Amino acid sequence: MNSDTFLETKAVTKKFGDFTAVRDVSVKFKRGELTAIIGPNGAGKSTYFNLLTGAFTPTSGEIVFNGIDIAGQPQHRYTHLGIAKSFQITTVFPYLSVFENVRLAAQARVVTFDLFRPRTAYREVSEKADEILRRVNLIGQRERIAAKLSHGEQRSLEIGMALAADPTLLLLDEPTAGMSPEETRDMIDLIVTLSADRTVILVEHKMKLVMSICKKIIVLHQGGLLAEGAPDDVRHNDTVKRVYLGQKAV
Amino acid sequence: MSMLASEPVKVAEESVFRRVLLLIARHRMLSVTVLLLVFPLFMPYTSLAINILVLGLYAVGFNLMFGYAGALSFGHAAFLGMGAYGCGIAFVKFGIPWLPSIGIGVLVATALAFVMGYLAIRTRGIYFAMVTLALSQLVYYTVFQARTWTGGDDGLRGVNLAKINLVGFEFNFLNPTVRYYVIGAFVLFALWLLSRILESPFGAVLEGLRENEARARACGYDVSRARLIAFTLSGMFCGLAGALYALHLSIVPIETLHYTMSGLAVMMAILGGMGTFFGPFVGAATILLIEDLVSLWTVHWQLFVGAIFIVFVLFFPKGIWGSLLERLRL
Repeated sequence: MNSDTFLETKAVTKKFGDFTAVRDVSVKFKRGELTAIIGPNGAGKSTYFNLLTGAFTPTSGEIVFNGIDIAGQPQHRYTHLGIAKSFQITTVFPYLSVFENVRLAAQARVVTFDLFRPRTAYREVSEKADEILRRVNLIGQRERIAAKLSHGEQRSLEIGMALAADPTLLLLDEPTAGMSPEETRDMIDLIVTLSADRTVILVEHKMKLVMSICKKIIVLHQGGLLAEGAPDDVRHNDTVKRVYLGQKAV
Repeated sequence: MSMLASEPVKVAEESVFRRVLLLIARHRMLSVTVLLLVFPLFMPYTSLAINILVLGLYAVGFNLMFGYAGALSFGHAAFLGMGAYGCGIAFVKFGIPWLPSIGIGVLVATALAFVMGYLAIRTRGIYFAMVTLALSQLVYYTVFQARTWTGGDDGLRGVNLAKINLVGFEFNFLNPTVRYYVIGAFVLFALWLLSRILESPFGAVLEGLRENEARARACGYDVSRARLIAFTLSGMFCGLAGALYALHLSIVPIETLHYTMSGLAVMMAILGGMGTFFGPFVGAATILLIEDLVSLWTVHWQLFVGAIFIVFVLFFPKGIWGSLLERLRL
């Protein structure tokens, strides 16, 4: 394995019964490289993403992260390995405060089974939560109930929760889905900033967005790997044009 | 004119009420202590106050799993029952002093909760309720059959505790007031422990489980393990309630293990307010008071409890205490 390869999928396949959602995909992800996974509907993007996050276990193949095969590890272990994700559908702890949402996420790598000390005794956890809230621009909403935030704010909160685990690999599933243009711009800025100190992989529908910010694009089609490379290479790839990009002017 | 004059008074009254409730909610251990001290004064007779105390603790234990960790168990009678039988059998059959007997009851219930939890924890929702119900019925029939140890359907008789020695003083446990304060001390200790747990990082994890289990898992929490620990702790509190119940009643009736007892916990928690600290106690007090008052003139007291329960489920799903708290926040 190449030394700057951070994450690698080796011939991963995921079957649901007779249906093969992801077929034999081998990709290397480089450390620090903002990468997007794209493809038409039903291309297997979400399944592939869920294999990376550990939500699904591959039917065959390996997922090598920092030199170890992590396929099949229980999902909660992923956080402790340094992998965090945001969901496609916003999922926060709806009736906890914004602060408690992030605090609880930050607590995961520090302590779970302390039953007697007050949670406020873990100062470093609370301080980290506040630092992250500042980072994702939610410090002004600290005491609000998460369910009362706007959609865009909830997505930011989710990213904040993912960051709270100090991930070296951050996986984002359609981070700008359902966002207004301004919210989308803010989110893109945030993603670009975040990718400066960690590896970010995202699944995205918005082509212009990924073409402008990502260093590498992976194109999936019918469960298989169709193309990979820099945005310009992918844009000019004939097969990609035919099956996918042809529908839109990029 | 008189209407105008009465307005400000009403507002003032409301804000005093509000302030008192806020004070109770904020300083819960202090208010629980005060409340426990004066509670018998407001009850028709002390024995009822003890019943409320013990079954209130039972509902509190149940609420840890139901209201805080968000899983509905329908088998908590097993923990109340095994706490009671564990304590009773140790005391009657082995002649072990009362204090260690309570400990044994708690241990038996905790161990049972761990085993039942281990078997049931992977299921969710209605399946979790069904598995816990089935397992608790298993306990019920086993105890029912083991006549020589448990007395079968006659119940375990002779849990007669008359005199107790505490810090060098001798107390008459048959005196209802003494019994109330001794049992109250245990309940207070249990509530203090629970309060610590709820405030702890683990308490935060429980809230996370209730709010969004998938998220909690994605955050990196071992959800199955957290649920199992919550279930075991929940069984432990119910076991303590059971052990105290045995000493209070001087007998362990087989009904302690009956599934209606599991249902009672659900009702007390929902009526009082699930997921709140005082709710289960409020629920226990309400149900037992209604039973006591209404059963004086009709045997169909459950009809009243049922009607009130339905009204609350339909119109005040947060329960008595939960609805009051909600009012405060507005």
